[in-house]
Amino acid sequence: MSTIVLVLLEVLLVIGLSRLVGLVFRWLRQPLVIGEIVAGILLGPSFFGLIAPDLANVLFPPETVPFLNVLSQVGLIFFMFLIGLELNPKYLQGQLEIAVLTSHVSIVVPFSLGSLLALLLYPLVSSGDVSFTAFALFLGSAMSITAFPVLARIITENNLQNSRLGTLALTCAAVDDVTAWCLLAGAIAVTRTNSVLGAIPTFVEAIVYIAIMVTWGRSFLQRLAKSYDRTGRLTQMTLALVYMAVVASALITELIGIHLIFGAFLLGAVMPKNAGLTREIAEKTEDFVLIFLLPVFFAYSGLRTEIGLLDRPILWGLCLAVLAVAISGKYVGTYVAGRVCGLPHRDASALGWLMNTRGLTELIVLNIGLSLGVISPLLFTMLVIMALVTTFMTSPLLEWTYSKQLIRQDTVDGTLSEPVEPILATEEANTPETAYRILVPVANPDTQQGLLQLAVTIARSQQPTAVYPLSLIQGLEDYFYESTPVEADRLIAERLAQLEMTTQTLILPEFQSLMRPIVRVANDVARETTQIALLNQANLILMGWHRPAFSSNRLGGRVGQILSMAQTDVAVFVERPGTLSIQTLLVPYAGSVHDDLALELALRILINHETVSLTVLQVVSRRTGMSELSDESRQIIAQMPPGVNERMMLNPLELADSDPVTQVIEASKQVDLAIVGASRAWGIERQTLGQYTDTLALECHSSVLITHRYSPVNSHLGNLMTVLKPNQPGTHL
Amino acid sequence: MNHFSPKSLLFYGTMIGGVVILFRGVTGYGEQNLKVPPNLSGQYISETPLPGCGENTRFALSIQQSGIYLYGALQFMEASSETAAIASVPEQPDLTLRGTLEHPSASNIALVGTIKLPATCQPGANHPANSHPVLVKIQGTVLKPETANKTEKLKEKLPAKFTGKIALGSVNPSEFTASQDLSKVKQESSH
Repeated sequence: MSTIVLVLLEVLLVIGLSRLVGLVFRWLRQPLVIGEIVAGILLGPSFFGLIAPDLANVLFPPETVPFLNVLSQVGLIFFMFLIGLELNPKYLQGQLEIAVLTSHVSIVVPFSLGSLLALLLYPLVSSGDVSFTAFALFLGSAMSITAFPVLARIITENNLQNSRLGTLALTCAAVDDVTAWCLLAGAIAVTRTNSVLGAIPTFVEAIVYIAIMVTWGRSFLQRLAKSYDRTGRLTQMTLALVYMAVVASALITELIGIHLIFGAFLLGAVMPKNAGLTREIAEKTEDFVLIFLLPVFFAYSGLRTEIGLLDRPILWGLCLAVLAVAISGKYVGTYVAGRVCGLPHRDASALGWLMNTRGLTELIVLNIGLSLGVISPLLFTMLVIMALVTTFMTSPLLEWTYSKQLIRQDTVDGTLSEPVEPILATEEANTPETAYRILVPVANPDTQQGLLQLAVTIARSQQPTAVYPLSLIQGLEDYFYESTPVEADRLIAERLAQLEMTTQTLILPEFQSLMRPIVRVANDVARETTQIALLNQANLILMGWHRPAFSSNRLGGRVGQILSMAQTDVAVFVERPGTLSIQTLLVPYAGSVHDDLALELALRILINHETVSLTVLQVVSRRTGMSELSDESRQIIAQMPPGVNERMMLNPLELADSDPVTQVIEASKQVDLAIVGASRAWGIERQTLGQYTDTLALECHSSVLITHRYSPVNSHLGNLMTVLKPNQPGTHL
Repeated sequence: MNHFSPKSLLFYGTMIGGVVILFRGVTGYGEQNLKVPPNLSGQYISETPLPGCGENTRFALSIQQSGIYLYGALQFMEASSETAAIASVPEQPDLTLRGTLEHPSASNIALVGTIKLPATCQPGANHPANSHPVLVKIQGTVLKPETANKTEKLKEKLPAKFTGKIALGSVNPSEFTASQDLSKVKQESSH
């Protein structure tokens, strides 16, 4: 097999596996990047080479490794350019003084501890080709890294970017990032010349180049931004010039004697942060770099990581020492600095865990160290383990120290509210505890207008109610530009405006005050929806059906997940096109708890809308007789005032005549909305694998609202019953 | 806290000064007192055949070094002539041999582990070829080229020699000499 075919096969395998393992880590609520790094390690001698050495030799023969190296280096150059591009001065606005102090102490402490650890490690895991100074400098730098990109993504996906702690962590990490890259550049220069004095010309040249880039380079790039503003688009010629500049800058820093990556990073950092230009360059560059080239870098790193080298207890002991120094150095440095700056214990502790995120940045540093020969394969493996552990532990330790919910409540401006919905702060305060609340997940406000109208129809009442249209911005993947805090904020504001505009055009002005839009970033939509429902004490989640990608089941995919996970009642609306307004309702009743919910919701609409009528189809079995209404339903109906009772008809549904589902489908011809419990009687039931059947939803002639009760305690009529005058008992039933 | 206030400048000055002093102290001690082993990594190809393995069979000993910890692999190949023109040497060896340098400044190597012998090798009556893995013990010394009166560049062109004893299974150890494969050194450094 020719080398190029082999390399392409390797790339195929690498991309596939990194996506797969990335998804597993996503499911574990970990950054995708950890999964991708682990995928790389799995492909290397630590796993694949161990279980199938012959196959590993066939698939990853040594002659292909240089090609993977070239691909990974190209990917790294453009990735560093993207990191520089997203280093926005806006991040330096959050409590800058505390951040500068904290980040510098959080570098100094692990750096010092790393240098001391070098005294132990140098005679054991280094060789005579490396001077102690270079070794100590490199180890200290590796210990001081905080991965700004990974940290920024962890903060964004947890919606912490506007919280006090989130902005402080971002500022610290941004300062840390710049300082750590400078430190690393110094370490590389010293390693290459093997002495501090020998590296001085390199330092001088690097400083001169940085000064040129910050002055002339920046001024030239600002002209590029102006040209972009005039034309409003990025031409291929302009992009070609930018890419050429990236490569040229990388080459210059390599020639100076630091490393390729610094030139690319520097160019990205000095690019004017013109929102449109930066976004367009990032979006055009990142797809190929992050999906194709970066996994190759992870695979290349994985091929060099040999966990099998740690085959003696003493080596695992050394690995633990590395881990302990890395974690404690970063944590203690950050914590003490935070406390000195007046941060409360919990904030300082949470910041300490956040700053421990090392992720991909550490991996870049380690690969440079291994390539230069300053760290041995054994130490490389230990440090890769440290990078993985410190990144993996961030989210759970942060949650343990300071729950994300509490962090979100502590916003920069001091208001107590959800960060993404600051405009609601005062309205939320006006919503009493007893209010009836409906959460309406809206995937696309333009196509789900009927859903919002139905929510208002159900909610509308003289009693306090609130409707929460929920829009989740999903699929923000690690490292993509749109998942940077600044960009995520822009997307949230855009989506909020869209949601508000839709509700303003759809909903009558008198009911506008019911609306409480929520916009969030979420990776697991189902889980986030159910959590928001819980936090907002929603009585009902009302959602539209959503056809899953690989089946036509209306209650499959995310709808099915929410039905299974939600800790409140759920209703799924299947809208029949052409339904203008809801005037006639149908509730087939077979006695299940889900049917009770259907009946309650129908009665709620009936009470609040004087023109609406309701037909209840009550199942009658010739053997067992008519299915009994539950005690609660009977009591509720008994309390209905005559005006409501008159608009309600109770019809028997004979089981023996034909299939009850067919009879309901037939009856649905006469109504605008059929409200159906998710029970077996109506062909809607949860099957072994958690899927719901959806026969009725598919064939009904009217729109259908499928109801799924979580708890019989939850009442949808509670606050209405207090104002209703009791009816004479037993009038109709 | 204002970064340019005297208090702040004093703090940063003390912090940076402290780190520099600590770093200088640590590196000063490390450079003077800490001994590290010489770089022994590389691939060494035997100049003579192993007893019981056929006249044309040579072995390549790959050593990967991480400080005092040594990892090795032993591979066999056919040599077409006395000059050991190598037919093919697998380049990603399975590192099954382990060793530790007892004295960091020494070049004495002891590696132990198991390997699978090729069909051409029958080191003893009790060890038919291609049977179970056999225990290998290698002991020897790496001799770097004489450096007197030679420039650094010339030194790089001279291969190191590995001389020692190798024992396959229960067979008595036999002596061997192996030369470092410089093409591998160049490849590694270019990577």
